[in-house]
Amino acid sequence: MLKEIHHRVKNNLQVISSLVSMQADNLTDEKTREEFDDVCDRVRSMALIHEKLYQTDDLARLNFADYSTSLLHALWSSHDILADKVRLNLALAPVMLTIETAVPCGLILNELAGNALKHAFPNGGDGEVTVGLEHDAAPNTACLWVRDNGVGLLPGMDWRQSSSLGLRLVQILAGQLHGSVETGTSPGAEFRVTFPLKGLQS
Amino acid sequence: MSNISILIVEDQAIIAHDLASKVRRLGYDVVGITATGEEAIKLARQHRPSLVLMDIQLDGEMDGIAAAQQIHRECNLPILFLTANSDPNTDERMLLAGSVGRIMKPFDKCDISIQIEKALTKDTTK
Repeated sequence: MLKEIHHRVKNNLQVISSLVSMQADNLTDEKTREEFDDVCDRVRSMALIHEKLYQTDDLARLNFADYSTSLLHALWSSHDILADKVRLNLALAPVMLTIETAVPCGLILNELAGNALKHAFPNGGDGEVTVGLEHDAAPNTACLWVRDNGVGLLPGMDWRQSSSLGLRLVQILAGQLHGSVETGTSPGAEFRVTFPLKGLQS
Repeated sequence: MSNISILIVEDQAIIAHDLASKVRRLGYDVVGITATGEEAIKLARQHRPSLVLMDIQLDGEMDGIAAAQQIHRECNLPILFLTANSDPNTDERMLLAGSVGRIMKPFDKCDISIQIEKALTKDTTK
């Protein structure tokens, strides 16, 4: 029954993605069209949670390292022109998350990795994006980080005041996870999101 | 316009039309869109498309894998499955039904382009 629900949710998320995509077909402005594509990327990050849960035995927890690998490969594949020049490195420890944590965490990963891919190398230069996931057993927390060797955050910029929807989402969702966000700027940009693991998560 | 023709079998009308629009934009010809396996078999016999894009859950009595098996047996057409989820049992059934690949939902324009190209290349090198 639960398996069927995950299947149907994923199918419904495809319908939402198709509706957004069909709406975008009528747009002539490239920037607006890219914003619609961003919505499709966000929907995909949620749909993939249901796919991974569907494949588990208990249908309750997923290996977020495995999820992250799939999500990032899909993200790189759907932005193939940029992705050809930006190498993706993974340093992911296995961390088991429930759906309540995995959905916001997946959206955060989508935003941070997508931002790095699309904005860290503005002149089409080569670069690297590294995504890591760490588990700290003592306070039972996880840390998801995304680092690039691109142009970095603007000096003096307070990313929390940014008008970028992606960064606002990171802030909002980290709050939902009762987590914290730290940034680093040299070289490139780095975002580290640390959040507590509860219950069955480890 | 390319002379490659594609039949789309998908029970969700919005997904089917979005898919058709993306396929046309890639330069392929869409020879039909249907929500049932029974109709898909008829359209496959009638049009002999280069490729069939087949969802697994369909309207009607037949699921996509059963329809694909019959299309593959009768018309020897390559089938590219559309799936929301995968498991080993379904994967094996898809292979036996003439699968040359699959597109995972939710898909985007790049997924469709890559998988269709791969499927057509695979089929011509049989």
